[in-house]
Amino acid sequence: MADLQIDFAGIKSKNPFWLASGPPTNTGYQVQRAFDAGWGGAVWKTLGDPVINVTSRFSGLNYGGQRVAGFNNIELITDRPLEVNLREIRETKRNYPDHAIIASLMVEPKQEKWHEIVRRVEDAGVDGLELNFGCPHGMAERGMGSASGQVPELVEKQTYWAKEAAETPVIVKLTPNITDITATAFAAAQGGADAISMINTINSLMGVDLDSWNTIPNVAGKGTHGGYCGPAVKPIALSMVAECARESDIPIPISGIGGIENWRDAAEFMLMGASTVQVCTAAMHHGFRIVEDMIDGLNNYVDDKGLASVMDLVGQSVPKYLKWGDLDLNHKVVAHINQDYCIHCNKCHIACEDAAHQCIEFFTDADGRRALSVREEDCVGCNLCSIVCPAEGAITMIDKPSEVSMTWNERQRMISMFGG
Amino acid sequence: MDSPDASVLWKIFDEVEPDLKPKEVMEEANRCLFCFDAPCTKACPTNIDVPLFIKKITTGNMKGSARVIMDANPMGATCARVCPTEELCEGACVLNDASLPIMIGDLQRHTTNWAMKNNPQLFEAGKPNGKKIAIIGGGPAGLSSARELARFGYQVTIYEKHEKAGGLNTYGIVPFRLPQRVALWEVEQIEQLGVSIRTNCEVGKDVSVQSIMNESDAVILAIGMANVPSLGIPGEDLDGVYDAIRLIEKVKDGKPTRQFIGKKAVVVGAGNTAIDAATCLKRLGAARVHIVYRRSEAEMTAYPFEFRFAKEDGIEFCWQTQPKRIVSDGDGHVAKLECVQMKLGDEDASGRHRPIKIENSDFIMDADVIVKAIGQNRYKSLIDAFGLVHSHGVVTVNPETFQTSNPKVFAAGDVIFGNGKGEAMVVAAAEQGKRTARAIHEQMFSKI
Amino acid sequence: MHEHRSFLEEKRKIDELLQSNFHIVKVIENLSGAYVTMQRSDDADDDLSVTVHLLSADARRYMTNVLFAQRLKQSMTGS
Repeated sequence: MADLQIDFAGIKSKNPFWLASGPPTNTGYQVQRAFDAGWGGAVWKTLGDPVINVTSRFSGLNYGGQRVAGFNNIELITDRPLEVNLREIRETKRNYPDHAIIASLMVEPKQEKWHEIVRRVEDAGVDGLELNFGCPHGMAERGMGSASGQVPELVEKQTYWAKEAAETPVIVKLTPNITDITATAFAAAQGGADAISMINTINSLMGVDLDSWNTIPNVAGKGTHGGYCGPAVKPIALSMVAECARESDIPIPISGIGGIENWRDAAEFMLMGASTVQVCTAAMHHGFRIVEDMIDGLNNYVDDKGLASVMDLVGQSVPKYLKWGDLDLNHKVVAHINQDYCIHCNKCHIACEDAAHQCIEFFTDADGRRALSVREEDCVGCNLCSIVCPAEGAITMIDKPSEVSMTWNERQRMISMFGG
Repeated sequence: MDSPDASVLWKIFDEVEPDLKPKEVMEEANRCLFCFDAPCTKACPTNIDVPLFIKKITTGNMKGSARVIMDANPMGATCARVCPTEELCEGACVLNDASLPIMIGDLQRHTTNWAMKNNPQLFEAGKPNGKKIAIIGGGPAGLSSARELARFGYQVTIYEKHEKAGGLNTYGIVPFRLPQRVALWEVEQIEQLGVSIRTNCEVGKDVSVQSIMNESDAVILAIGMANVPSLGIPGEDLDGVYDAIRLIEKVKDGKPTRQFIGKKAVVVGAGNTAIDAATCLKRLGAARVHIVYRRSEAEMTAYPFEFRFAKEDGIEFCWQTQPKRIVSDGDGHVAKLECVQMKLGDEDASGRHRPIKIENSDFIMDADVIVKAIGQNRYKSLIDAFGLVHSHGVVTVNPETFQTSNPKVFAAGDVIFGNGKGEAMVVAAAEQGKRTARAIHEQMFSKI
Repeated sequence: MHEHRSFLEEKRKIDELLQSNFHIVKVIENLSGAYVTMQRSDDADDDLSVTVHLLSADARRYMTNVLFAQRLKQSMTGS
């Protein structure tokens, strides 16, 4: 049995799986149910001046018969008074002393506001604070959430204010609704953040109803943009985590958030530099019980890898994540069609013909049957055929490593010496 | 297996149902809704957490998937193949009405195939607690209780009269449904927990009941049932009359015989064993195989999928037909079977219509081979040797604790399976074994 | 499409020049591809230079690898 315990900027947790701030962490009842199910920690639904929410609030993106490939919401922060939340935080911490409780906070960008909420929340016994600079809807119109999270100076200043009052670790949750997330991550680090978490939700409009022409979701026939999350956002979140993890001037731990729904996703985020992961949509889709396989699967994976601790995964893939200009131009990959597994749907042919390099050709095999093969010399190894191929094992991408490597950056330096 | 074409002959005993292909597995597993409080789990006698083991397939956590299955059901690999899933988990699947039920049995087979191939250690023996348990019979009920007791820390010895443990899984279910290696793998899993299995050891013959009672803190009787009873008609001692259980046992043990090639066979009875015997005979080369049954298709105890399978195999059914006399060829061998037509009368105690002979409806069937498959006898003398209260060889137990009239002796599996009470399924025996183990554990350690 | 053929054609041009003791002295890259100017090595008396226009990506990659090999050789021979 591998050791799944983690230490995140001083916050200890028996496993890396935390519930992200959101509907599942609205109350003590829910957070305690989650801890019973096995979650190592929970980030309480964002505390601040209680809001009034609209209804309806959520919508799901179904893709090809699969429900909730993506998810969006227009729900705001907590609608319950601070005292009520703090009472439940105290009770939960008393009943579950070994679980991490992080309070997510959002107030107006004023020093005294941050000081007040930080002091009151820490008094309830939380293990850490997460500053919500990320929600893209509603609160942003009031100058909070992503509105302040998109301005590096505001991120730095508010982090600094929170840190002035804080005794527990301060995590800054970043918005992805920005061109370069490392700018705000750097600002958070400059402000004294102990850690960063990412990503918050992405601006989105889920759809338009073709009968009523209403937005999806709608409130009395009207809609507004919501925060997008769920499995579909995972690649975006993963790249943002990786970009921050590889920056030496953002030397603080990262909590990965965005489309994580099983142990594999979690392991990927950890390999890319996250030392905890936060989950919301998957728990909303399936319930807190999904954490059982997350823990079990991660445990078996770490064991299979021969590692003692899950912390040994953290950041292992970061050195492999480079700028494009540092990739080897000489490396070649070619597609190979394995006739034993091909089911003759011809999707690879048409994909290559119409969208790639026209190198998958028909031929007639010894038995007079029509089959496909790759004209390797024209194959650029783009992967498209293997991506569209529905038959497991029918297309293999074969590495043809070169003896010497040459990156774009190396090439340009060389050419510049020859007047290029 | 010494004739030149023996390997070809043996080939037809390969598993009939193919494994799911990897793509099928992923498509099917991802189709599962991961229901909460899932009806499939509730429909499983051993309460396998079906959505969880399927979820683990989708995440590639195969060891975890195998553990979920085998934890709930120590016969999980066997049950994936022999359970009447359409009446249990798959029958309960919420997708039955919306589209098609999830192929739970096939997914369970995929996971347990992985486990058989990769052999991960799924369970560990408990810390020894100093107590000794003797289990008579190494079939599903005995093995299942042994597995649980070993995990609780008991020193367990199984006494098995056959050469191999596994009971009907090893010897009684036709290989094209359940290859013997599957049953033996499950036996191995239990041996790996330190359970000692004494094979070729018949209690009452090779070892005395008294010594077992003296040396153990508790005894579990999981002896199953005995041979097929006689038909009680003239000619039963003729050459060519077989016991279905023994016939299947031979085939299952890898000893297919050539003696049935081209023969006309009649199987008497319409339970799952009768179907197994009939389909075996067909595979052994019998020219025609009839099943005769004194009641109608509606009363038949064989599972619908077994019945379908038999019809696909070309087995012919003679309903409401009762054998009356086996006729000799004059040379001591079976030549014909004389039968009488039946009609169905009022319901009997079991709720089934009582068959009544129709006057002057006698007729003769040509037959070289007669196979008896009309249920099984009970090991009454052994039960008596333990001094247990029983009803016609069905041991009386407390339904909660599986304790017999002797508080030190428990009983599980077919030995407590009475007519008309539930079904004699492997999965039910496995569950009874589990519960017996828990009951023993509770009793042993609540006293301290 | 047989992009590979144009590469082979362009590669042949460069290889022929290399075999005739030419080496790369100048590379200009713009919207039209790469213009590679090659000159006969020092021991030759004439000042003959040839400019090859490379269009295919593979040829432009190949040319740079030639350049690297040429630099490596020069550094080893000290010239």
